[in-house]
Amino acid sequence: MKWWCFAQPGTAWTWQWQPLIGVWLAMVLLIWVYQRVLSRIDDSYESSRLRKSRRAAFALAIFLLWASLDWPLGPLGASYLASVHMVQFLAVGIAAPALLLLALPGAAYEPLRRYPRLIKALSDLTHPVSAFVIFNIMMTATHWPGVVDLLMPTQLGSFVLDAAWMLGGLLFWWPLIVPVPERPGFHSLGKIAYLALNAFLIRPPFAMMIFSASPIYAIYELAPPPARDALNDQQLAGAVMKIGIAWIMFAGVLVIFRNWMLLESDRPESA
Amino acid sequence: MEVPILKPDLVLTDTEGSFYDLRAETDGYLSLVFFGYTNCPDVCPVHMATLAGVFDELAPEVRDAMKVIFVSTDPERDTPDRLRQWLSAYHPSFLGLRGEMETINAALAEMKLPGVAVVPGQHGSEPIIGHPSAVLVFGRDGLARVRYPFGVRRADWINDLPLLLGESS
Repeated sequence: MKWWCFAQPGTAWTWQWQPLIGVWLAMVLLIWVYQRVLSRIDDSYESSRLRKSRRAAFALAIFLLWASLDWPLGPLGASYLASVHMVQFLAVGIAAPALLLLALPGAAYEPLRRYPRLIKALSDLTHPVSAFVIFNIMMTATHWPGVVDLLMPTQLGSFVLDAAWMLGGLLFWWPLIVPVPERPGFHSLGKIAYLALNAFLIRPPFAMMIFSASPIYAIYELAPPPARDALNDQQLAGAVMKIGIAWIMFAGVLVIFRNWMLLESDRPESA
Repeated sequence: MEVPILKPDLVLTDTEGSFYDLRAETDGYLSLVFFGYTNCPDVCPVHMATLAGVFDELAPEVRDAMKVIFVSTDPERDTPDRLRQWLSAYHPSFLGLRGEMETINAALAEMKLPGVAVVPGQHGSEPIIGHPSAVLVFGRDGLARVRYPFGVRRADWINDLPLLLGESS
């Protein structure tokens, strides 16, 4: 019985369905936690439309996580195709964390204020500069060939990589989405710059994937078909990473810009 | 390898249906000899894809001095057309050879490689052919000093082949 998808070098790919119990349990746990948090807060101050949007964001996050980690994308990305691995990264490490944070109303984060030490730690960790640095270090480390080849062949190692993606993504989006701790100095323009910088930044793994003359990951280079050429697949992975991140960041910029304009239009004009 | 292996005296049939004398045809070339089959789900496609990638990265003078030879361990299913089509999908210069299983097993034994084992398919699936997973590299002098197991990466091949070519000149 498998708990989490992992790389199995030299093993032929099969379209025979295989259950990944850990993935299902993780989804059930997330749904349970979400329901529990919602049951403990009063979010009636938000419009019905906003509440529905938050639930839809949560459902989409769960779908993205489940679809990218369960069979067939899970095993394909863990063991056979670097390009699928990168789609998983976009889902688990970028899109799903943003949706999960958006899925909770502001009131859900208020209880955090009861713990001053936690607020202090969050204040430091989710400061835009530290979030930017930590996210990019984590992203580079979790795509570094030696790290990927070392961790992916075990279920625990593969889980650690996915968990690191998720934590890195939550940290990255926190200063943009979560109202606790408050950051009055982090203006919409700053938020747009934060996202734009991440969209255009050339990270070492991307450069290696695109410009290396040989495949950089042993697990994908030595994986049996469906990939016929590991180098082409790796270059596709690099393109997916770059274009995917840029599009998600661009979507974030659009949302922030729209909210900023709405805020400006609601502000009473001074005489 | 502690003791170099002499290129076997092997005459097989190529994908055009002509006789192919391994020693005579590869004399003076660096020859990469691999035994496998086109329906192989794991080792063969990986080796062929790796070597195809290596071929494209080598300097023309190294590439011209090399031959990649794939000997089928499943001559029944690997028809000449099927073999040619499969190899060309990786690299058009790769040679495909077929022959009687007795001849192939004798050559494998001569090269100190395990023989071919046919495992019948279960529940109507295709049979699995057990075959050596190593690639034997014969120098220009007809001697193999290195056996490359499954798992050798493209970068290692690109590093080693020019050296092997130089050593055996």
